[in-house]
Amino acid sequence: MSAIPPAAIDIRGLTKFYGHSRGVENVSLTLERGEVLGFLGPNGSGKTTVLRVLVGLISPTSGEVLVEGRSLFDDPRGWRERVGYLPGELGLYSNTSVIDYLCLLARLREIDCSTEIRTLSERIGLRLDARIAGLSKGNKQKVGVIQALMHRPQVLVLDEPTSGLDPIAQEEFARILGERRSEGASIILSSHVLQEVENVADRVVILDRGRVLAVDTVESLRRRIDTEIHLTFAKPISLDTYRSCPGVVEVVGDDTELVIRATVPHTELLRCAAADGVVKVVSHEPTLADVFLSLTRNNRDS
Amino acid sequence: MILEPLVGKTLRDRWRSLVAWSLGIIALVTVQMSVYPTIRDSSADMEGFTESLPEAFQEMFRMEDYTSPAGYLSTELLSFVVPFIFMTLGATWGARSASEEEESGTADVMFSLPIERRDYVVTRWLTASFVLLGEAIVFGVALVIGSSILDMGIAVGHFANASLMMLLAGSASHSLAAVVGTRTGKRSVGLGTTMVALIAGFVVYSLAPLVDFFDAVNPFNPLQWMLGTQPLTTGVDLGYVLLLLLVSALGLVASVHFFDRRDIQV
Repeated sequence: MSAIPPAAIDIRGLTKFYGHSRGVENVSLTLERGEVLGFLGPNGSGKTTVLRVLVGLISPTSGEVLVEGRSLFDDPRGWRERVGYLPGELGLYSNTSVIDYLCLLARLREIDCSTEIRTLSERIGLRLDARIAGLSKGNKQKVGVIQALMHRPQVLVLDEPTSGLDPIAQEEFARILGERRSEGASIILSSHVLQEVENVADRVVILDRGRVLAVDTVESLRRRIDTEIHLTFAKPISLDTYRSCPGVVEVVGDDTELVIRATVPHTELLRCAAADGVVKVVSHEPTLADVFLSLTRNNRDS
Repeated sequence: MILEPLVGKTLRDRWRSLVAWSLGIIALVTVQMSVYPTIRDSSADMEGFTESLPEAFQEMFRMEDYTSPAGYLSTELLSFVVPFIFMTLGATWGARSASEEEESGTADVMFSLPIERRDYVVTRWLTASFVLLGEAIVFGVALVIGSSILDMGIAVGHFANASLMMLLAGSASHSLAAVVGTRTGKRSVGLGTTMVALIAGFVVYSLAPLVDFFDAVNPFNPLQWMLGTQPLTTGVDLGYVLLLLLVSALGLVASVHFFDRRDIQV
């Protein structure tokens, strides 16, 4: 199995308007070689717009996309040879078989993908002789996954890739992504399944209303929002002690049971609690879902 | 560059429809030709009848020489029915040339492939031209066979002229529909606009002998270029042929231009 030569993408000030309606505005991102970048955002946040610009399906109103320092629009055909794209709304030729459809795409790519098609279909569990019209939604999605991967692209642009896939296929798909990444492929993955993004993404982009709210690792994003800590004491304590601790945002409860929202580090807070004879500490690590909801709510409130 | 896999796929997908169009053309030619012996046998009565019609009506449907074989076929097949069959076939293929992928949701995968959009449009244009050529040949062969059976005495070259004019009529309307279809991404808009334009052109063409304004603008009317010659008697007008070829070529260039520059719709 040959290693995939790397590629790096630099999106600068990308703006796309559909008439007067904003798709995305001033989006700047980088995708490093061999990196998995997760795209999160509510419906209509602009995720698909960014992905479709990257594949050359739509032109930006302004801004640029550089691939290894050269504009994507200088040689869009050459760029698309290196990209595998799975659209969020997948349409397939229904009046043909899976293998005929995939071979048609391979012939249009002018490469022989037959070995890769067979391997991928066996791994994710798809019959190649089946008629596309008779496939379930999940199996149609598998066809989409194979067509995006079959030419071993350097860059994978995947919009809701596991939508409709059964858990076994999802697991295998994640394994394949891991392999491709270890071979040097860069991956952009948009998904509503936050756990999936959390599991595979090196960094996460959170978009809302066409703007980037955050780009960071999951760990760093977690640190951006408050942790909820439940403290139980054997004897009454003063709430004011905790309100004045560094990083504490909110303290509620009575003098023996407190619920504290605080940012990391919690060193001083825990020192105070120990001095007051705390008997029980329960802390909830924020999930990516918590981060996502917190950032988008704050954005809308502001 | 022609995208050969796409040509094969398109023809495989639509071969049943193309066979149906061919059978329809053959059936029409057969029915019309089978009536001719009756017309010929009652030529005196028919001549009296056609001469009683208004001159403009005779001109509109080429009834000046209704009882001769060439005059009969010109009136019954070439004055309206068969040209509009080819125009409709051309418009149907033109309107879907790029919009079909978008309307069926397959465009995102198709245009994420390393193919040039202009190659895609040119391929669809050439495929449609090939189909129109095939149907024009079917029409010409049906005429030759029917004429031979009925001993009409019309030269094969005249039937080739008739086929050529049908091909050009179909090709010009295909190009118009392709321009609108690729510009808007909507098959219905491409087809609807083209059919309205063709009908408007036909109104101008057919009423030109009666309305001075229409008569003045008719030389610029593509319907005049399509229908205003007598391929079975006087042959084709080279000027009209070139104008129709120009319309087709400009349509191709405009389709490529529009499709290359616009966003692919979801």
